[in-house]
Amino acid sequence: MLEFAFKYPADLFTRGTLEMQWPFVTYLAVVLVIGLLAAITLGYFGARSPRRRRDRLGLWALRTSLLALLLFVLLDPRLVVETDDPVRGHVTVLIDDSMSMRIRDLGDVARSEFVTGAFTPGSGSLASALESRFDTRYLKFSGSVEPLAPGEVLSFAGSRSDLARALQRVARAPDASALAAVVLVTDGAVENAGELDDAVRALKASGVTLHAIGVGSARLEADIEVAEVRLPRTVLRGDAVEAEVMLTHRGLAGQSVTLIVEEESAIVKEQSLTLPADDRPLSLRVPLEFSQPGPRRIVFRIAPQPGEILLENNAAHRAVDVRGDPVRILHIEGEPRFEVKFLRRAVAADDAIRLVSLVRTAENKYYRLGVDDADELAEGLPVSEEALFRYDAVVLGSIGNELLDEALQSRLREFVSRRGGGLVLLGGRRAFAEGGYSESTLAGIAPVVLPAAASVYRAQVPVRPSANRAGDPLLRLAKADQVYAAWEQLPPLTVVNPIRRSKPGATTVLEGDDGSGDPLVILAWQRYGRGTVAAFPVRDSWRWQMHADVPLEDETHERLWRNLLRHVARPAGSRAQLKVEPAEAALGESISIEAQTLDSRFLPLTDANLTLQVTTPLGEVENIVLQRAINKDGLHHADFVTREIGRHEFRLKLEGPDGEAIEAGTSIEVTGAGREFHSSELDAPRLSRLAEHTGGRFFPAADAAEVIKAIDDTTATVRVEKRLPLRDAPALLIALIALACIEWAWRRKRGMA
Amino acid sequence: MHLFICDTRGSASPRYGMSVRAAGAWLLAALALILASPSPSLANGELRGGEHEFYFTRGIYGEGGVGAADWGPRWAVDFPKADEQFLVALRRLTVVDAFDKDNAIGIGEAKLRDFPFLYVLEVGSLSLTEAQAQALREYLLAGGFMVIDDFWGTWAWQNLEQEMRLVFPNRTIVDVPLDHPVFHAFYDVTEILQVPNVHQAAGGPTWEYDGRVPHVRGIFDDEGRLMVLINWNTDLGDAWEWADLPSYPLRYSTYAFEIGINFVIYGMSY
Repeated sequence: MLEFAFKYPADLFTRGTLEMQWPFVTYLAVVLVIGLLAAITLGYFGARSPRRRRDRLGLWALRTSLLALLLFVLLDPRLVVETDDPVRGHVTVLIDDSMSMRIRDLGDVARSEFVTGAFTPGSGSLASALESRFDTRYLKFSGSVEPLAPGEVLSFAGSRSDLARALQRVARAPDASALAAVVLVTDGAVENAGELDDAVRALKASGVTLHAIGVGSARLEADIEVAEVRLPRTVLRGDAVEAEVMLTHRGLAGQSVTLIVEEESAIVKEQSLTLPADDRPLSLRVPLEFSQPGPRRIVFRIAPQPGEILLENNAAHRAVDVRGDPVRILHIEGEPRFEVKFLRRAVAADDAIRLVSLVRTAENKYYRLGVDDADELAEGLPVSEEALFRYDAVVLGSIGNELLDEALQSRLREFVSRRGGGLVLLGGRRAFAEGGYSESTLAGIAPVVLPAAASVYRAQVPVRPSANRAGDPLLRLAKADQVYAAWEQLPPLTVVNPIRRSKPGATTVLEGDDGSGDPLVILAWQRYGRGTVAAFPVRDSWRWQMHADVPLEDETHERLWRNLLRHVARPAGSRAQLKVEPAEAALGESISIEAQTLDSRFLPLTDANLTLQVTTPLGEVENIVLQRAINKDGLHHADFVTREIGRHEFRLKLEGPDGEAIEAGTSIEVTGAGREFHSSELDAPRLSRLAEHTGGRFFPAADAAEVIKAIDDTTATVRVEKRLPLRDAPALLIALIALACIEWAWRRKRGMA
Repeated sequence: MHLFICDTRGSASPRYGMSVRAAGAWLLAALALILASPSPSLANGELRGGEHEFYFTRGIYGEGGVGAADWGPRWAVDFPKADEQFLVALRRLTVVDAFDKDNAIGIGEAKLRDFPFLYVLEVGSLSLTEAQAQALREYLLAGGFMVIDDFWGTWAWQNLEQEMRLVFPNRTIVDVPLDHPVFHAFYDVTEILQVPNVHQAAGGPTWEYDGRVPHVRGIFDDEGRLMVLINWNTDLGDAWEWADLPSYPLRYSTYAFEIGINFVIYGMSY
């Protein structure tokens, strides 16, 4: 009733404000009305006014009220309120155009067939329904996001599903606030999952509601997937490394399968395994050895299993660059030792290691072994960073701090932290605390805690792996794929540097038992800056080669040293460093390339002449333009879009101001689908979470039609300020008429009409 | 691969820490002191190892032999004085952490594998058992380095050849050229001298039997490293033993110390 009388609900009057219009003519009207009121007043109370005072007052009041009400109407009263008005904007349909949509897991229907039938612009069943109610736009996404024209057929050929990018594009569109809703049609097998949250937050901030339609099966009946492979991108020739492989499967629990590892299409490893219960990933370490230098294509493959409909995820591809040139190791000793001889013998047959020995044989006299020319180390200990940084790793033996002064120790610290070099601190009578290093720079970078003072100590201790370290790659001392088990048969080693504590970030690999109940640290290592520092505080590792209990054919000593030197030297890069990501790329994917150039002291080199070339699988050589990074000296960037399937070899050539030419290379493996078919089951929880975060809903493909009602329920609104006119409110008209009628009746009754 | 010796004191200076001639007087005094005290020989079964980097280890072999009745077992000729006097020079002229006493161990004993440097002499009387030959073969292949000294003439050579064939049936003995690192590891040895025994050093011929020409020969491993170094028709041990004898010519003792130190540095490096 009240709403009928005053046009609007009562709550509008409680939260709104009254506003009057005061145009110029209104002022005239007001003056006129006031004049009329004055005339009326004079009329009713003048000499010719009615006689009876009661009539005068009553009629005056009625006429005055009538004119006041008229004045109120003339002032055009309006009710000012803020309201959330529904906005009927447009709808954007985002359609996944990637290859994983080809999977035929909707009964006998492929995901792509469902999408084509329902969402082809202009003809799809749901597309037509949407278009009849909303201004509907279509975008397709895979690695890129592009509009989908009416009648255009989706190819489902994308090798990636970059949903984050697609959502960001929608959220950043200028008219995003006018979007009624976004309808996302996908299987949820997307990449850049980490960026998705940001994209959805941006969508929500724009007030856009996302409804997701999940296409595909949430659980394949039978499937095995090589889900993850971790393998170093660069290894040394002859390196024995462990590939970390993770397998996932559905419906194949208890089955025996064989993991096949291929190097350049030749099978190099077959490993049988039994699959665990469903939903439990299986992690395994696969030891591999790389003997051939250059780029190598490695494939980890599981043969198709009975009932599998998705075979593309049964393999993972990796590219490994096997460094052809040897790493250069400098072994420094302050006195002649048999460790020099036996270390040289241990690595003599290893083509990947070039060992230079610098042995102090007398006061001011050094014996050099393995040098390239007469100038190398001609001054004895490396006197400059340039002289030291030409090596990839240093073995520091029994040489006291009276020879290795603080300046040289600082140089060694920079060698490790900046150059990425390796450092092995070997035991001896003039090493560690016994060499006077307790309070030195060397103690700061060592992976072990040096005693505060030198001690008089000598013990022959049996050596064993520390807890849970028997399978450590450093201790692959028998064959690359076997855990060494002959520790009991190895002779004890002499320790004259009793060290019993490793630093918190260090890994202790070997321990020694001297009967004290507190084990000695025999081998420990840690990363320091870009490099690695290892401590091996034994005096005579050569006993593992020379001792009567060790058979001649035993290679424990050789393998330990080779593993250790490779381990510490491997991170040492060259002055030209090339990084290409990802390791396994998809056709059409944009590859990120980063080139770092360094001078002979491994400081950023800004005035280098750089050339980057890629050799495609067809053998074509293409130059790639590098852009200098603004925020970091010596760093250059480039992007490269893959156009062919197969190995792409990148080669960086650096020519420094000194004319020295340095090259670096790496490679990637481009496959047709990349990782598109990995983790490609419908990820309903993720899609549901994304939709709910924006206030939208998730629908499986079977219920996709419900999305239209959902859009109606959740269309976007805008907050507007409204001025609602009140002059035509029925209550005002009724009041005017009522006042006029009462006056007429009063006059008639008194005989004044 | 190249080998170089560097002297950080500059090219105008001698190429070693102390010249042998300059150290000669010091050595004579030191050796006299050693002679004045009784030798603390520990050859009879007492074992050492691990305290020092280097032990001058003498190989014990056989029983008797030519002249055994007069001079004792052949392995022990010049023992222990030669060994200890060589160690005095080694410790004085280099920074090798060397045990300063003798260290004699039987060829074939497992303990020998704790000492990768082996000195054997008077091998004209060497007679190895099959077990000793095998032990010696494994010692050398594992990384041991054997220096043979003080045997003269054709008959002694033939005996050594015969014994070495027991050790290495398929390896030949070859001359070691003067540009080999073993001649330059510490001192630059540019000629091979015939070092006479103490009796002949005073004058007359420096050779014994028909061993007129001194040789340094060797047996190499598969990687070209010396395993056995053979000093034939020369007697380094006597030069070490009698270096403190005023009448013994400094020329010979100097040479013996120089090449002996080279053997040690080489044996600890290759």
